[in-house]
Amino acid sequence: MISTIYVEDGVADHPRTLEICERFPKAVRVPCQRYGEVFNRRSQSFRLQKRQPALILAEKLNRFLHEVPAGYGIGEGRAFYFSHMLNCLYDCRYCFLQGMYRSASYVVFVNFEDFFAAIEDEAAAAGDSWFFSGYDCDSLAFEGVTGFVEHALPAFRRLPRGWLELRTKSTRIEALLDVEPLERCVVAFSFTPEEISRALEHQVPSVARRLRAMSRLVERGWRLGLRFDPLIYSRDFRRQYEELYGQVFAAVPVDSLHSVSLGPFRLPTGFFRRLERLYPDEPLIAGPLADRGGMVSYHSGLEAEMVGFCTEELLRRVPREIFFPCELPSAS
Amino acid sequence: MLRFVVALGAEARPLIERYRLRREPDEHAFAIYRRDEVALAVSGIGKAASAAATSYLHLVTGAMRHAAWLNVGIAGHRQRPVGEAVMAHKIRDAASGRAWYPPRIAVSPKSDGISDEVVTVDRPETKFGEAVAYEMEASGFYDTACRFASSELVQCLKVVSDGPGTKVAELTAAKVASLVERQLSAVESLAQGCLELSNELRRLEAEPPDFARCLERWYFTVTEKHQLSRLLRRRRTLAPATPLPLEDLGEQARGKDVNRRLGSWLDELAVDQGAA
Repeated sequence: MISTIYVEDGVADHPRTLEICERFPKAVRVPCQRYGEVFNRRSQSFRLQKRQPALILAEKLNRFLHEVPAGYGIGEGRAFYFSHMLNCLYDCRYCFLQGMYRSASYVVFVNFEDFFAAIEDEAAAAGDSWFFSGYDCDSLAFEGVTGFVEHALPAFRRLPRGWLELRTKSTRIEALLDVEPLERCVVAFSFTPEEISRALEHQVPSVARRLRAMSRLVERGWRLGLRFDPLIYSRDFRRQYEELYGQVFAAVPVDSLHSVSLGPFRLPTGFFRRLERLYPDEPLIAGPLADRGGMVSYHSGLEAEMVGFCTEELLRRVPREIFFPCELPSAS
Repeated sequence: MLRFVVALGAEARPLIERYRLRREPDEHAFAIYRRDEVALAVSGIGKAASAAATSYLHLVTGAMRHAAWLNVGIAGHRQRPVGEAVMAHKIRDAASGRAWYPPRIAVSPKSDGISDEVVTVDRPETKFGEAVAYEMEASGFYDTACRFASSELVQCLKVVSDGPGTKVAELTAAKVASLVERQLSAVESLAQGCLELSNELRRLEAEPPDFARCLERWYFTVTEKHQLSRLLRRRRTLAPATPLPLEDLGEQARGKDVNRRLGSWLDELAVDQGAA
């Protein structure tokens, strides 16, 4: 439950601000000039704040879209990501957000329309293009509060060449069930094996619940994606991933899938060092990891073994055309 | 570790009694009271004095990171009733316009729901133009204490003492002490919440086992010390009860060699244990 809402002066009277604040009638509302005054301050503990994250309602002023680094695409054309929200309701121990931000507060940029205008401009200029939501947040987990997807879908329906990816671990799919499926939208669910999820993905719905949500979306005709990223090592990783794939493909028909992607665990070294300080007793952090060219990831042999095994297992179940392994630039 | 910074002796008195603090010898620059893990400084009036006393208290108590810091005192308010305690959810320095936002993580049931903006002014407020708590120390205290502790551990709690129509001259020392005393349970409750957070951060930063022993036995550069600390934390997670595989390394070994040995050992353990 949100108990503190910081509101930028510039959006204090924005209809979306008022609507969101109404959902938390008991929360203390604190005015601020710019969200960075609260969010970017030094001397904050992400770990402590995760106990009781505040909500910050703000306006995004520029740089609405960012080009996706090479190797992260899932189809033809240019790819961009955008962040109408910073930080996530869930608390996944491997998540880069813990290393990237000082604060665990949720920032919601309420001027959704400015994002849609930027997307429209880029789609007109770039031709076929992908727009990824869910980079700095979960695309659906906070939908009950923000209503972002509800507003994004009509905006994307107007774009003949713009594709939307919603990436999530959430089962909050009401906004999708209530409307006609959008052909150029992929609802991509992220998975790790259940045992790993229970250990590392705090507050995330179980694998079974996510699969039920996917089944409901399939029934409604939505196109789905599967994201096995990051791959997490355990001694039993072969059994765990085999079981996961068995579970997933028993519930999700392959012909409903737009894409399947896979990527090894990796974090920029600076982010990883912060994670070490935040969670020094976490087994994941103590794992067989190495700093390779500014990126911390599993030792190369181990990583290759995991990627190889999971790739082989996936390609036994899905056609190669829809399989997109994350291609990281090789460490020098 | 709990640190109080208060402006007036009268504000301090109930805290001194409650925590059974003892005054330190007079050679200090500020009146300092201590007992065990709790310390208090009486700063005098004004944000500069409060900032100075906060730094001073930090140093004379051993410059420990991540103590819980509380600024307790009285404030004027246009609307709130005299005697009510408010926790600062925003601190604004009236002169500079700068603002701080103490994260409300350690909110206690007793202080929950009564938070407000606290505005630090340079002269006693008489007009009460805004519905905020006016006082004279919080900005100096907060900005300084956040250099020594994570901001979640730094809080201000003000007891409303006056408002429009109140004569400041009527605020006797006895009345000030009585106002603070009646809100001691809110202070204690907030202090308890902050202490819990403080303990968590201190636990995270605690020196790993065998760190000092390694430093005694081998020479490490500064960088190697950091690496050693990280390695020994990994060991605490992966094999807390297993002796370090370093016994055969002579005293001539370099820190780099020790770290390399530890790293290889831990990598093997991590693969074997399947860390996640």
